[in-house]
Amino acid sequence: MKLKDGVIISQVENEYVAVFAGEAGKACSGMMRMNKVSAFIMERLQQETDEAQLVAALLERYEVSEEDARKSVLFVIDQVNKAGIMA
Amino acid sequence: MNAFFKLADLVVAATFQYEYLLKQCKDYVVRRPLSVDMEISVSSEDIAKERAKDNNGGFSNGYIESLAFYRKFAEQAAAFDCILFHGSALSVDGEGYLFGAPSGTGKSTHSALYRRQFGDRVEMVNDDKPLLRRMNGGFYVYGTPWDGKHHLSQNISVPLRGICFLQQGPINEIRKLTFFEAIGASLGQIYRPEDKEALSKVLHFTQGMLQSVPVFELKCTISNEAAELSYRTMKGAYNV
Repeated sequence: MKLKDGVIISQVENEYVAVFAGEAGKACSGMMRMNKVSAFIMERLQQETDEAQLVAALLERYEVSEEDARKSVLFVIDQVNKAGIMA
Repeated sequence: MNAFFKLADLVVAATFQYEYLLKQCKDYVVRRPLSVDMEISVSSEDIAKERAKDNNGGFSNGYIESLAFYRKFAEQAAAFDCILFHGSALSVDGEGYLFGAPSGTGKSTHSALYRRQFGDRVEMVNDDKPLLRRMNGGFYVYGTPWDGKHHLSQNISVPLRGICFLQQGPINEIRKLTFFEAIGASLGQIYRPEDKEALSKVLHFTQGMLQSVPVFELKCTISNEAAELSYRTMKGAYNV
């Protein structure tokens, strides 16, 4: 899985926002607001990846349980699908 | 047809097909500029693409070409720290204030209240699609000839001192938006380029602007008090 082209993620104070150009912009004209972990997952989703790789990447970077990491990954995937920005 | 236009202090070498654009931009024409910042050529394909967008049925080719031209300008302008904001901009005593709201909420009406309340101290900058630009660390609002159905605009620029998002309400009340509320509301009114790099520039521009220009939400009635409240609040906030 991979995001459509055109996703821009930027840090705003202690959080992150994503806005969408190009193909992603055609699907979503809104703005997504997210925390550091979700932004990390979104960045990883800019290249082809899968759920297991995303969970592994989170475990490597952050002090989280595998269960929590998987929850975060599934949450972001769900949000991305709802926004229509998965390629 | 060919002409040079100066929009937000950017010189554009324009190539286009219909006289509509030339007439619209007559106050922005420059002759023999010393340098050119961008080149924009509107093709028949650009016009067809623009016509295919929402609600553009029934308009003349000239009008559609003008929209296509401004869209192309906004795509390139981001690289010059210049963005298109859908809103009504005016100046009071030479300082710029910008009102944003979904179409039909009353931006133009609120601007008209300013003219009634403050008289000659008010100059309309642009009632529909002004340009914002960062120059030497400051933010400025510029008049453009894409100026709404009442054609209220002037070829002037003033420093931007405040932004206010309007909602209709039973009473007048105003509050400062948090940074996140402000960025969400602003991005709703700012032209978002299709090009990724340009959109990234727009996002950074917006973040920078919100660090120096205070943003409010005004719930308001159609009254002089509403104009007085938004003006006093925005002016007070900038001076602090």
